[in-house]
Amino acid sequence: MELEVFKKNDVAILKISGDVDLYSSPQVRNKILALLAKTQKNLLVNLKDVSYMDSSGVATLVEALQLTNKRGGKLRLYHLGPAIRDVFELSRLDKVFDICETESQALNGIIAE
Amino acid sequence: MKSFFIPKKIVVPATADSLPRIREFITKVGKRYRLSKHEINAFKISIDEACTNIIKHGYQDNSGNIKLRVSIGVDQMIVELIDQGKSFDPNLVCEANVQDYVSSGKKGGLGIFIMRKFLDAIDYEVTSIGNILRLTKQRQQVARNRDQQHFSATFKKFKSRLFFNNYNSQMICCGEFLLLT
Repeated sequence: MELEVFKKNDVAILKISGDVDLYSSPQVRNKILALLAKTQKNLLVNLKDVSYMDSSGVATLVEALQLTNKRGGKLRLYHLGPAIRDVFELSRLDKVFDICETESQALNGIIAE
Repeated sequence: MKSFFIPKKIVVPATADSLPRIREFITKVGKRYRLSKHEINAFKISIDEACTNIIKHGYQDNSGNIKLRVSIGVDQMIVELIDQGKSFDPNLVCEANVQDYVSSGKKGGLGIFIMRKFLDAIDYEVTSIGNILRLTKQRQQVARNRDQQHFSATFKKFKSRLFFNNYNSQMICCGEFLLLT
């Protein structure tokens, strides 16, 4: 699994590539916590190259959602492939997360800190 | 259950770094038996979640193995996970409320919730060889039709090549032939 951080219009974008499971999700969690600790209020997560995600990966994103909500910020997920979308839809978490199709949609209305 | 296959199995150490190997095994078996991408994904995530529970709650910090036995038939797919860790019956875990999960920050239970959504039956028993978790998923009609067509086509192809004296011997040989295709 690989993690890359980009900035667009001063908004942090975390791009995750590979499988997110019990073994790799702690790395995702640490990266998200580090980004949010750096006064980032909003966070976009690009899941285009995530081929697989289990409940530990989903739980990590839930934790990130709670943190951004507490700060009055936004967490948006985008570019979900069919396998990842299945997990969010079946667990009904697609109603909880702000899921966008494209990066420009995800950036829409997000104000950089 | 109608079936024309021999179960496949794998034994892996009960550690988090075995999970990619388990998923690769399920993907290979799924593709081999022409399961749809959705079916393969449903089984991958359900088995991954079940193995995660065995690693975290069954073996805890102790070492051990998880044995997987896969059976794929025309009507349904069954995966049995056998371990010798502490018994952990996922059926005894209460249904997670996703809204509460998100609002309260409660951890745990999401994996079993996902398993229940993807599977048709989860059976658990403690036996003399260890804990057996049996995961069952009914196959999609499209995939079943595709399998039946494949079975008929392969059987006809095979029958045209070889001549057998009686019907029973044809059936046995056809079953074996399918495993080699």
